[in-house]
Amino acid sequence: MTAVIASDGGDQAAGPLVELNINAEERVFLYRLLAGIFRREQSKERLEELRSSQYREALEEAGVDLGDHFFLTPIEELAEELAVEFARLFLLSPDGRIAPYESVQLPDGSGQLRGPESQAVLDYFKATGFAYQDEMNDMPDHVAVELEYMAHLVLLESCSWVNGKYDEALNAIRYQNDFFQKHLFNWVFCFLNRVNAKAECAFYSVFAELAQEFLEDELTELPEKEKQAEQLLERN
Amino acid sequence: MLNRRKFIKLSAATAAASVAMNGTLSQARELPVFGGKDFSPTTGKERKAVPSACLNCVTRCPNIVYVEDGRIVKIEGQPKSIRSEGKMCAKGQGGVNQSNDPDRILYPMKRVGKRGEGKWKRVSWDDALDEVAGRLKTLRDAGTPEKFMFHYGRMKSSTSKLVKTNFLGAYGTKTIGNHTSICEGGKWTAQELTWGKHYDTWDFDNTRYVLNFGANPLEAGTNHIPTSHRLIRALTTREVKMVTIDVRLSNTAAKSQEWLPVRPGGDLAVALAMCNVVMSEDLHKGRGEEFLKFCKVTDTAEDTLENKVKALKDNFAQYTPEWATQHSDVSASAIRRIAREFATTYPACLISYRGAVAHYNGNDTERAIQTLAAITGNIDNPGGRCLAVGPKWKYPKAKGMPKGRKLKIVDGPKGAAAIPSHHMSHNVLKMIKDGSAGRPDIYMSYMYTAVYANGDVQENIDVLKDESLIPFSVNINPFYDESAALADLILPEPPYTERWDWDDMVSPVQIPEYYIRQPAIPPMGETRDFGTVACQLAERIGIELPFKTKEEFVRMSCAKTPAVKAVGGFEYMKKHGVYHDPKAKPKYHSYRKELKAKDYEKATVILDEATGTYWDWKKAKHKSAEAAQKKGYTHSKGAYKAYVGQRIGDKVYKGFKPDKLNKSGYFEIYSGLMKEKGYNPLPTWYSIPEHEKMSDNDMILTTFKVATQIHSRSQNCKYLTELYHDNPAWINPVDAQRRGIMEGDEIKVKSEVGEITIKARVTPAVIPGVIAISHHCGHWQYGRYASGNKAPMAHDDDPDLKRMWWKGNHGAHPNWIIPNAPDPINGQLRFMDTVVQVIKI
Ligand code: SF4
Repeated sequence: MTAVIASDGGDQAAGPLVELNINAEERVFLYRLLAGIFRREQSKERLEELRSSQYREALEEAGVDLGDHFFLTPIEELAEELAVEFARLFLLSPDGRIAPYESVQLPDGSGQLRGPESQAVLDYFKATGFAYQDEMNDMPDHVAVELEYMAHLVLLESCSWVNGKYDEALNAIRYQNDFFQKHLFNWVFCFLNRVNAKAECAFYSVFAELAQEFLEDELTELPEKEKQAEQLLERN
Repeated sequence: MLNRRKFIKLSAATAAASVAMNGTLSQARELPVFGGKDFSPTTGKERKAVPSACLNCVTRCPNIVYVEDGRIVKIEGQPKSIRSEGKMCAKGQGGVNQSNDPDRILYPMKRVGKRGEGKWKRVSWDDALDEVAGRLKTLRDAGTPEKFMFHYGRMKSSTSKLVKTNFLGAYGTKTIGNHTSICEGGKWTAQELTWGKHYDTWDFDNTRYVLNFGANPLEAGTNHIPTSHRLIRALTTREVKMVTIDVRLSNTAAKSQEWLPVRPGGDLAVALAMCNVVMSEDLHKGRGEEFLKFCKVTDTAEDTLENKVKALKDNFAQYTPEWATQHSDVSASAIRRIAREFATTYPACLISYRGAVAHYNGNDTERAIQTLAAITGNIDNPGGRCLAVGPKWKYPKAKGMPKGRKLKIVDGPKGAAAIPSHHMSHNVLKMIKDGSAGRPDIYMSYMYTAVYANGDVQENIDVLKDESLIPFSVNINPFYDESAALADLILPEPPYTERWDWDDMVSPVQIPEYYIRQPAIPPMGETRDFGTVACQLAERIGIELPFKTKEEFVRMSCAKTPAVKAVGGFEYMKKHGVYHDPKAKPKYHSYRKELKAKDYEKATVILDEATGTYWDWKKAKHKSAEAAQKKGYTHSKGAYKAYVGQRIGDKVYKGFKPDKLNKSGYFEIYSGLMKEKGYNPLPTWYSIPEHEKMSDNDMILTTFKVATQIHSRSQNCKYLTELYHDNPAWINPVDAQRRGIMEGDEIKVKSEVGEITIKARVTPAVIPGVIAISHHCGHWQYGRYASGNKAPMAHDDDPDLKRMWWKGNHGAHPNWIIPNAPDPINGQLRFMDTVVQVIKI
């Protein structure tokens, strides 16, 4: 996709445009990756992929160290261990689980599972043209669903850049910014801190840290991207 | 973004793998355009979105009005607006109730009983218009058009240009009263005396320090939302320091890093003392000193910097911080510290409003504040106190306007105010009662509840009720408020959500924004936009106007205004609501612009040696250059309209162009106009005479506004009134204890013009010696939500009427006890310094 943009070399906006688009492409997959980590227990197949040499290298480059235990433990055993940890963290725990929902985690929020915040998130999805259907019958304000939603919006942005529809790209960025500010930002850092503090397996604390770093970056970058995209649109 | 580089591989690896989450979301339809969309929470159906503009307060934020099944159901901020950036206050959102108020007047109504008795009959528009036009024509034909008085409040932009400039101009009356003196007219006059224009904007986006004298921008103000959300952003994201000087812990004071409680009227002492600190410690050096080049500080047209500095040092030497403490109760050390901080943090924004200005000594308070900003170089600079920038609409005008005539009743009694450049609306009824300057035969009021909003309510009622003083009274109103109740004829107007306008409020980013107001739904019942009614009256009287309706006026204005026309005119504005030039740069330091020789070397332009001002004698309506020279710029009536530029050294600058007064193009710290009126030309201390004579038991009444109500036109909005309908009087525990008053007790507050009964709120959030009562409450009309009283011809189709839990609890109105006393210089109603006695009932 990048090549399509890069070929548009005569355009004075090409520099920032390429930058914005590459950035969008990367972000889609980071959101998806993080959504996948927090959604449910990791299957053996997923763990195998994460342990592949290509992935190991990529994780290392991103500063993520899952430790030898992750790479050396037999896969069955690892899957079991992580499933137990997942349940202890997010599903049921004698010392209280960290329910991964906005309605529960939002500071000064309702604190209720399926609280008004869940409905507000669902309304947001609907108002922006998304249908929500979950085979697990989980809540729409689950951290993984909110991350997945961001991935969708970033994908729309990326496709719009590729198709030269700068106004649509800007529109998608505005929604990212808006949803981030209205929902994710208000609770996700608090949630991730709790995961980090409670996790006994490096796997969850490391991905919580990665998410924290990436989303903090989003917090500062999104308004900046919006401005850049506005300027780009004005110039064109 | 560079930080992301390390994630690239991870992202690519994820793209190739299946570790990503399986989807729960699917895109069912296109992503709607951000902002400007809304959906019914029950049916999911998209609502009709109409880009328009709020008019619940004077700020006039662009908005989006949502309509569902023909009903206005929601109002939001306009995300495309550079002024509001999509933000909107509670009052703006509560505007949704204006349209659906069950107490709305939907038909023309004519009084049948005694005036004020409350008996009405419905009349047709034809009958109503015939009656008004017939009476107007009689006056005009008799050569006495001035006997038609038009008294308006929130009439702005296109409505003002259509009604005032065109209709009233073509009719020939200049007996036109406004309402500015009960608002912030005093601040405007003081600013006109110093930098020429009446308005200031506050550049919070770029400032590093905010010093606030009596403004409450987080709750109210003439540019409320555009400035308040920027102020919050500055305070929170950039940790800008704000210091608030106020008698009361307003919500703005509460969000400031420091609140300096001040005695009413003591703001002037603090501002003068801060000027003292800056000058005596040479903190003006640098930017302040540079700015002095553009300032008039002595009576010499062009003086040396040395003399200017000496004059300032001499004038402010007497106002030491220790002296100021005696008049303000603010400690000398705090005055010194804040003055130093303010003067040494650049850019810094000095803000002020009614809390500082609506006093006996308000004029010089604002002049001292302007001076403080000037000597620290914080005038019209990024991050400072700036000259306002707004759009320049062009509009159609009637031809052959007669020379208007007027009754001299809008500036108060002779000598009551020296320079009432925004008139003295609160004295209009008093002047009618007095009768020495004549009385109108027809009194027409529009968006102004003089009877409720002015001081001395009883006197207002007595005058408006008296048919021997006002033979015929017409009120134009969507609601049955206190003024409508005392009219002979009510012409029903739709609320702003059903009207047309172009609008022009100033922009806090120094880039003009053009925007319009359009009806979200057709006017309900038989209501008619008053702009259109004015056209219909004109036609009946035989006055030719170049348009027939308000909509046509707006359409023609769009075609005449180059910036708007270029992007598609009326149709563009209807679709988008707002427009600004994306390439425009913020306008700062406009006074520094050098004029080209051809601009001031014209045959009709001369130099006034006394002031150094270039002016056009022909525009000033002189017969010759010699006649103009002889009379001089300062003493030629309306010469400010002929201002060209200001000579400073060997250059001619745009300077500080005057707006209403014949001042020079300098920033006038020294005001020759003040001197001519017998006042000290430099900012000076004046104590409040009534406060000098106070006995031990007396207190001072101050007033304020809250974030969820407009001064007097929003209590009919149920959403807002549910939030704020009762207004207990704030009293300090020290004062309460002395009088045996406990929280919630009923107390009597008495002044020389009346008394009210109100509940007490005992709180240290107001300083000892002061009792603070908010506006907004204590209506006796304005429909059921505001007062519990049903309007004639009201309907009962609002189920919330049954859920109105605050019925019978509508608060008290402080204006019954506030005299219509003016600031002796500018005529501003003194809302903040009435002496009262407070007793427990
Ligand atoms: S500040 Fe509030 S009430 Fe005033 S115009 Fe803006 S939204 Fe309306």
